[in-house]
Amino acid sequence: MNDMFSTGITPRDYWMMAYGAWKTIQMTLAAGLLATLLGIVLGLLKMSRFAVVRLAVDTLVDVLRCIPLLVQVTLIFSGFAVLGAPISAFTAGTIALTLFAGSYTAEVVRDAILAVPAPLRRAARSLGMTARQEYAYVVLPLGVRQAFPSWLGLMLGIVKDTSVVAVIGYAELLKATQTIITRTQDPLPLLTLAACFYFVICFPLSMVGGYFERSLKKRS
Amino acid sequence: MISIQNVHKSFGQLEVLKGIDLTIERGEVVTMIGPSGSGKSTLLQCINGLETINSGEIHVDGTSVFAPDTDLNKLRQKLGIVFQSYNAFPHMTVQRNVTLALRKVLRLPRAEADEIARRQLDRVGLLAKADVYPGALSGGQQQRLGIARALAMSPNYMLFDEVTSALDPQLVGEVLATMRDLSSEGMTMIAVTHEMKFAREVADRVVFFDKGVIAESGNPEEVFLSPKSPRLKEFLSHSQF
Ligand SMILES: Nc1ncnc2c1ncn2[C@@H]1O[C@H](COP(=O)(O)OP(=O)(O)OP(=O)(O)O)[C@@H](O)[C@H]1O
Ligand SMILES: [Mg+2]
Repeated sequence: MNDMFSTGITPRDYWMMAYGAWKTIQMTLAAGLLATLLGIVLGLLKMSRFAVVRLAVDTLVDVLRCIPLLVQVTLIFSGFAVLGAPISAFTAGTIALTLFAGSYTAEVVRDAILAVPAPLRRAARSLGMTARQEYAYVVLPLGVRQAFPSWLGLMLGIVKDTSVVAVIGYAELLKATQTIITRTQDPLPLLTLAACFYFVICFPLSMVGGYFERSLKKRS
Repeated sequence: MISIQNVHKSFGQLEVLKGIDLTIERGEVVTMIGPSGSGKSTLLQCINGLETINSGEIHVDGTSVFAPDTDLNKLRQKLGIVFQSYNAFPHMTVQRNVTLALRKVLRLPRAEADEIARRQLDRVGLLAKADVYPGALSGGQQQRLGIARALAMSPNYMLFDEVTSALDPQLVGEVLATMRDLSSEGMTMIAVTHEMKFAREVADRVVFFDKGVIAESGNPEEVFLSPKSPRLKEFLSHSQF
């Protein structure tokens, strides 16, 4: 503790970092939810009957996956400002993360649906189910089981990627940490502390995920 | 009655059905034999509209399968089908596999659906497995589940597509026994099979498929004991029965 005090970290700093962690969680929740929805829509469109739609979505996804997130965040933030409709760092960051993670989620969704065996789907239809019922009771439940591990990985990725949004001044965990470091000039203990915060955010997610995954496996 | 008239079907350049004519009366048991790739599976899937046809007509109880105003989902309730691959829904218990369509397609109340399911599972000898997941069943049990699931919808017809050919030899008997029971109860059946003994014993009529046409058909004695076409003679010489 003495050592800590000599580095000049004040109780207020801990609060600042905790608040930063909270902002990280907020953005993760917002972007995670929106990226999942976007991924489902794009993933389904990737399998559209219309070649034009497939091509458009594939191109969009490729573009989003090729441009570094840092560039996307900055482009979106300053782009809106230049167009005269400035948006908050939170909004810009959430949009960028949604597009970025959503494009990966689209792949996961498509692969999961394609992984549902065609004979099972035919069996559902041959029992008189409509296409919608086939999706609701067979394709979706099996697809979710298939997609879950990769999806969870993407969500954990979002937790870490929120740190990129620091560049446009969003005071999430990393930004808060950097601000304190500027004052104390001693990065090591603070970055260690930040690492602990990230771990504390991610660990329960992957615990819950692992538990959920095991219980899904048990029931099949 | 299922009536198939001059049905042609192609996959791209490949003509798989080249003018099929076949009528199946209620109560009749028809077995289909023939070499691999001759179009047997394709025909079964055309009968319940899972595959489309290029020309011709298929009627089930007077309803045209491919007429634009035909409700295929409704028509399929009359046609139970069991495939070669095990098609149990892996995320549902054995009983729910059977009740799913009863509840969602026929919209029966839960209690009634459960009762029907248990009756059908009992019939195929799976009642004790009602609460397990299909992953815990043997191949033979999975096929019997497929049969129970189809029967639960009270179909007028049962279509079987080589339901024993993916099974270990010692499991074939139990599935064939279930099908025999069905035929003796008067179910109308079309069974594609490689089990010649079964094809002969259970059938009122045997149909020999070859290269997209029905090359020969008749009662089991005619087909198995005095085959006319050279192709059928050759085919039978490669099979034991
Ligand atoms: N979806 C499809 N697309 C393209 N070709 C297909 C398709 N389904 C079947 N075929 C082809 O149609 C032909 C007939 O296939 P089908 O499965 O009806 O034969 P089968 O008589 O059932 O043979 P088997 O005894 O091996 O099951 C085969 O040459 C097969 O490769
Ligand atoms: Mg076949």
